[in-house]
Amino acid sequence: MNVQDRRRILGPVEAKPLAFPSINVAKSDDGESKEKTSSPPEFTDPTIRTSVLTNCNGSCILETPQLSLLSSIYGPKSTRSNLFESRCQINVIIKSSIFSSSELKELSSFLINVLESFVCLELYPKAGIDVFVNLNIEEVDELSWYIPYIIMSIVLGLVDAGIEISDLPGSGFNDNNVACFTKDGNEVIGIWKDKGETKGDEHFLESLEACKVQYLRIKELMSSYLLSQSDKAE
Amino acid sequence: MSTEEEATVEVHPVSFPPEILARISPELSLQRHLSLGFRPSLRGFEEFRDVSVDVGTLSRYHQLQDPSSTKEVGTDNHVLGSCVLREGDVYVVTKITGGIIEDVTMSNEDIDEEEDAELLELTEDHSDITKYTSVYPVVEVERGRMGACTDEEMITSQKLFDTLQHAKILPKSSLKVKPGVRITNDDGTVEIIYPDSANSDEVMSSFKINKKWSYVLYARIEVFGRTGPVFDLCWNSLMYALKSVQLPKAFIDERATDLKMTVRTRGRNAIIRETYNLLCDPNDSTPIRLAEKNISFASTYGLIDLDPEADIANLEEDADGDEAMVDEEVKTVLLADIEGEAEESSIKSNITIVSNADGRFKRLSIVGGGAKITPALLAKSIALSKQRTADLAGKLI
Repeated sequence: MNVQDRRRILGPVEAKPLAFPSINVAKSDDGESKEKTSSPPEFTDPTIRTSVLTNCNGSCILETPQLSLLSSIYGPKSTRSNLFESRCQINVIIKSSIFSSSELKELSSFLINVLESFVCLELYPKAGIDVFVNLNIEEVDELSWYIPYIIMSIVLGLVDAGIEISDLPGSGFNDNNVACFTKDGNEVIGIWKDKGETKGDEHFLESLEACKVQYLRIKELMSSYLLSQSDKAE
Repeated sequence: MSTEEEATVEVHPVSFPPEILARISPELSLQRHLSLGFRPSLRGFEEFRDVSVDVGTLSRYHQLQDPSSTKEVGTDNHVLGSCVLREGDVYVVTKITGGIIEDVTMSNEDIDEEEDAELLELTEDHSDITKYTSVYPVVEVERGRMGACTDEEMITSQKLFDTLQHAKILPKSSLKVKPGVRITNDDGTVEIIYPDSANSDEVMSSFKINKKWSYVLYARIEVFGRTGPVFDLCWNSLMYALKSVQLPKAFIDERATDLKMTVRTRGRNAIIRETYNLLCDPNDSTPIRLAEKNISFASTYGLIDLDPEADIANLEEDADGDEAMVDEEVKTVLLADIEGEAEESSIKSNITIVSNADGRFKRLSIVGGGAKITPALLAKSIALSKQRTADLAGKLI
């Protein structure tokens, strides 16, 4: 049902969205069947830019050939509630054009939990930090694949905003599992699994190790980027 | 009686560093800068910010144009045209998507020639504007807030919609869909035949398609890093994005071209034409046809009276406060491309010009907010907008 939002100019109600059927029969003779089970691409080192936006406290753009992701951090800023909260409240909003809002909401609450474990919340009482993530170019249709990049950009955005964090966490994606690590891979602060079957403990542990490898790579990239920034500043 | 001692209060003037002054008193900070000959952003009075654009890179057809790319176009990408515009520190990302709507208006053949000829004649003169249409814009200015759309977003969207309609850039005829037919041959191969291809005539004549469709274009405009009024950035970004739009070729399956069903409702039989499923070709597209000469670009100007009391040069001569000012006339300056908190909040008089390469106006708005707007200043703003439009139009090539 199309309930029109009258505050916005949405166009005629009867208009139907464009439907693009998949290119099927005619083209799959090459021997490469590009059917449903194309696995998401491997992790590639993204290009990083921070301090991109001037109207927020911290921002970071990550780009790879399949992805362009912008995270902007607003805060710590005062909350509207009258109650005194001794810890800062974090809110994450993700904007995307290919994923549904319910999926994005679930991912947001997962990210809030992860963030609360490494942001020094006690230092910002009665305040809120708003994290906005915009997926501008999204060529992979598997939401879990984006999580390592999203967390990386949020961490770099928090550093850019000058918000104190206890470590540089990161995460890795392997076989539909995402695991978030901190303290050099010795602590797990979040696990996300959306699709695929649960294959048993050993498989999961292997997958966890693969995620850890990716985490260590991400951490290396973040540290070298931050060091190069501080060298430039001097 | 005790004598009252006079208490003397010493007042020390307080001075603030420029950044603090800009937050406490933006107007004073602006006036001080202006008296020195430049603006808080360190630009000259008539200097614009540099614009760089990246056109078409977010659209689904972008990958197809790159011969080295082996990627398949994802069916999830519905963007038909795009532009990422950067002006100073502000980024504007415009994505144009589409929809299809059935045309239910009468065609010219349906109108009875004799009776309605007079009506037709009357409407011919006034109907020029009805030959053009607009896109449906949704503007989102990212300022770290959630919730309902702000006044600024709603007003900017409406302005973009109205200006595009009246600028007569997008003819309705450009958006008409000429559907092809998808045929399944006897040997099982599937072919799609479009009206403009070589051997289409015999095929198309055997399929009578009685319905007419048009595309509808939507624009999603996101502004990141907003530092000042956004209308001209949104308009310029929309122009570039519109130019890059590729309309997909559409087709109907042959089995659906002339489908009639008999339906029983409440004891009566009715014949219903089945609604067709119009599908879009994932690879083939045609560039959109716009009225090129009407493509125009926007610029905004602010006018402000210089405050002689804020003039730094005068401050130093303030030893003898009784000296009358030599020049009593209020000087009004024109500032191009408003940016920054100080300018935006202190400048109440604005001129917005949207004009094409020939200098024809598509939109002109003058808000006299108290500054003295003379014909000379108007002429200057028009001249500047011509230069700016020429510069921006050059980026389209």
